[in-house]
Amino acid sequence: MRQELIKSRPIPLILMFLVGLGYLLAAPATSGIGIAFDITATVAVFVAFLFLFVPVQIDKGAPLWLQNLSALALLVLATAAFFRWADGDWGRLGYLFFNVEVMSRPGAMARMLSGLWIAVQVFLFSLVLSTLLGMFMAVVRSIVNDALLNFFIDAYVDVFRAVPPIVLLLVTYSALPYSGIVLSPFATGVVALTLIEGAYLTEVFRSGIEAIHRNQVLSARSIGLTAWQAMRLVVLPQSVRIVLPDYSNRLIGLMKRTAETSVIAIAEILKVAQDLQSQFVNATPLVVGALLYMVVLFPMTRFVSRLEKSRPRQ
Amino acid sequence: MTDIRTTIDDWRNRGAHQPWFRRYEWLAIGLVGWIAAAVLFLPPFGKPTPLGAAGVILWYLTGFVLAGVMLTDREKPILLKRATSLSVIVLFFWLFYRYSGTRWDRVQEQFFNFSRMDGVWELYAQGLLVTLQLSIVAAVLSIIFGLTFGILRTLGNPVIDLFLGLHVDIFRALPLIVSMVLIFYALPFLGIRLPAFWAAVLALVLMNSAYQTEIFRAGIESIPRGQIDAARALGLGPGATMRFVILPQAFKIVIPPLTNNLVSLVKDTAVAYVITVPELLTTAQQAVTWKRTPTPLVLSMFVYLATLIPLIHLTRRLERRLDAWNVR
Amino acid sequence: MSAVSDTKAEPMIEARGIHKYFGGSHVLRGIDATIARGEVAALMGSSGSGKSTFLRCLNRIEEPSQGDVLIEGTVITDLRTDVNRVRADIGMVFQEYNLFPHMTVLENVALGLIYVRRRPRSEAQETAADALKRVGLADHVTKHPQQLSGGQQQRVAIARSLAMRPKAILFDEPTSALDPEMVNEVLEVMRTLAEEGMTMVVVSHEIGFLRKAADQLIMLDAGQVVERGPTARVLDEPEHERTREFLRAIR
Repeated sequence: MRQELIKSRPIPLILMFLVGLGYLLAAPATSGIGIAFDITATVAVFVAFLFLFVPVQIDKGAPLWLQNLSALALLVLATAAFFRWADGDWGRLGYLFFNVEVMSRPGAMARMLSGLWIAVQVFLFSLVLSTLLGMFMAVVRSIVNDALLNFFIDAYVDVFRAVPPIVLLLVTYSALPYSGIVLSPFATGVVALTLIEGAYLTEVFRSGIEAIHRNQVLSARSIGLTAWQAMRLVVLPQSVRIVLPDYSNRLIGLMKRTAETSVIAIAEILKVAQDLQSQFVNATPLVVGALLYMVVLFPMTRFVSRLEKSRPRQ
Repeated sequence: MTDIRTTIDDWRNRGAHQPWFRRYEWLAIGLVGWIAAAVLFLPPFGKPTPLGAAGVILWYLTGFVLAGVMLTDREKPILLKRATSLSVIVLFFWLFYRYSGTRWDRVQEQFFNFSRMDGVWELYAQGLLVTLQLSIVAAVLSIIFGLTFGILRTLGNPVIDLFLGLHVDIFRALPLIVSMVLIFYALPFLGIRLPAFWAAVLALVLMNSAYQTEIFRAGIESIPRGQIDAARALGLGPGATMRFVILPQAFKIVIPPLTNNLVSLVKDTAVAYVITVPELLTTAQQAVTWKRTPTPLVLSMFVYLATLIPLIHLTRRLERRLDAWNVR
Repeated sequence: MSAVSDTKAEPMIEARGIHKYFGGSHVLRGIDATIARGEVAALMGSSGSGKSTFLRCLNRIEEPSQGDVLIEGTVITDLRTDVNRVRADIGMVFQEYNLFPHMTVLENVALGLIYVRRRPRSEAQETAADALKRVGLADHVTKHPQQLSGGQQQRVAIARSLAMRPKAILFDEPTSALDPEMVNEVLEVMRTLAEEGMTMVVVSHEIGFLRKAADQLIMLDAGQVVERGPTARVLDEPEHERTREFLRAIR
């Protein structure tokens, strides 16, 4: 039954691979009017290959070696396309992007690490403040639940969820001093990020609070548990499980967003890396900066995707 | 008259079993004391001394606690609650107005100086157009790549999965601004020069397609195998199965996270300012230097808000539609 | 009929002039009631008549705005009484079961014993298992509430109250969220409890059950008692027009 519906066709697949590779390697990269044809042809090569490739992968009857070989063929095609379109001076890649000598110059690595430290500080300050802000707002929004206060909280959430962080950073940094509010760049960055993150966290915590029905508290109290015990034994275990994945996602987003504070002259990783790049005329500091972010964020993203998989489904 | 008297009696009766801090007489005493403290002790306008600041903060906290006691009591009359919440809001703005150190006489001149906006609106229009182009091009391309990669990941080939997984991991952990700077400022060292616009598109597509790969994969994988078998059993062909059974279901699961992702993509186009793409924020900054006033920057924020708030509401409504559809 | 209903030396629960306000509305307007030890009292009334609110006032889950509630002669509405001890002595079963979804059935039932009665965990779990046996759920102790049917969940909720060895149990429409075929298993448990002499206050419209199990019937309307008396008398010869209307409507 299955074989009739989806048939793998190895011979056309191999032919398509050869034709595609041949085109990508042989025909010279063109510019001008020819470029439109060139782009179309490259896209067509991939589309045609994928149409033959997907059935081979789905087909349970296809031999394993054919599946793996065709996957390899796809990667070869992708690599060929990359080198064809990214026509660079690849011989100097190591010198320009992965230059150990540049990074071992006095002060270079120390400055990068101090940038990391400042980024972490911005992150921690705005994390703590925005968590407090978001919790406060969420409690007022869903427990006090007064129509007038709700209106203002909703307006706050709407505005700060809509404003791009970089715009708010620049506005608070370059416009506020004119009005007499003078803050250091660091404080400005923390304030701007806190305002934005607070808006998101208000929504996150609110959904956590509202997911737990008032009746849960009532029934806990009716057994004779105190308010604090009801909170600790019944409400918190449930709400933490609901809130944690979203909360940690926001946390990752916040860490990434600290990079944007470089536009208001906070000497965090990106700013330092850019300074070093122009000083050394070498891209290695930027690459190291990117790696620093990955080192911090990679474990966090992995942790969150594991959390999301174990999230209870309603 | 009798009306008022019965109302007051009514209110007093309700307090009979309240703990002391919720009784009207104590709330009234607290309120009077609190107002008296404001008149007698609060420092004048402008930036207060540290001690004064501590006093102001303490005063506000007391006020908010009083309001909290009033608002969380379900027995208190609505009228009283509304009055309380109104005064909380007034107080909040009063706090800002009085003690932030802002020179309010200069706010209008600096931030909303429409007399200096000649020619800036046209600049905004150009910038907004570029923002729009950037958003659309990046959105379309990232959906194409996200969908392709998402489908490829569901196939479960270990070789493909390894590479696509790497792409997802890297670009979910790398800040957008860093990859933009890398593409625009570092790649030219190698002789690869992209126009600023396309560098921004590339960075946006690399990041958002990583997120969308996961969104589409989750959407497709969430459809149980039984659905396909059931459709086959009905005699539907693979095309019809895809069209009538799998896609409509995957669509409903994919749409909410996808729209969220696209909204944040539109917001992220502002980052292209750092690589000199002439989008809205860049034009606003140019106008700031040109007109020597921060007004264009402040107003550009409102342009962003006017574009994005409706967009967010639209997506939220779409989600609610889909929810209703799911229930049915 | 319950065996001990005639020992009326001291009422188990007594309510004196209970008033309750919510924001602008006056929900309870001076309700008095006396429930003797071992008696089963039923509360009836259309929705919005205040029957649930009144029931909740009896263990101060809802604070009455005015008036007193006495349990075995002690005024529990006094602000100085320890509400949590009062609540531990008076069980409550809700319409929507309200089990805790993050705990197993056994943990649900043992929770109060451990944290309110301060029993050691092993002893608490034994008592909880006994209570679950009494409602016929001995096989389901390790499951989570979501894995049980509505009727089973409601029986767990009853076991949760029973395990605390309460002086009385309040039932707030225990069967109205259930599918029809599950109503009987819950009513069966409740009838057994009544026969064993448990003092119960039940908000319910299950006429058949009330006729067999309830000693006293209190009819509420708009926050006031319109009629009260022995169940059979009120059901068969209602005196008040409002009661007659209501009984016609639910039959």
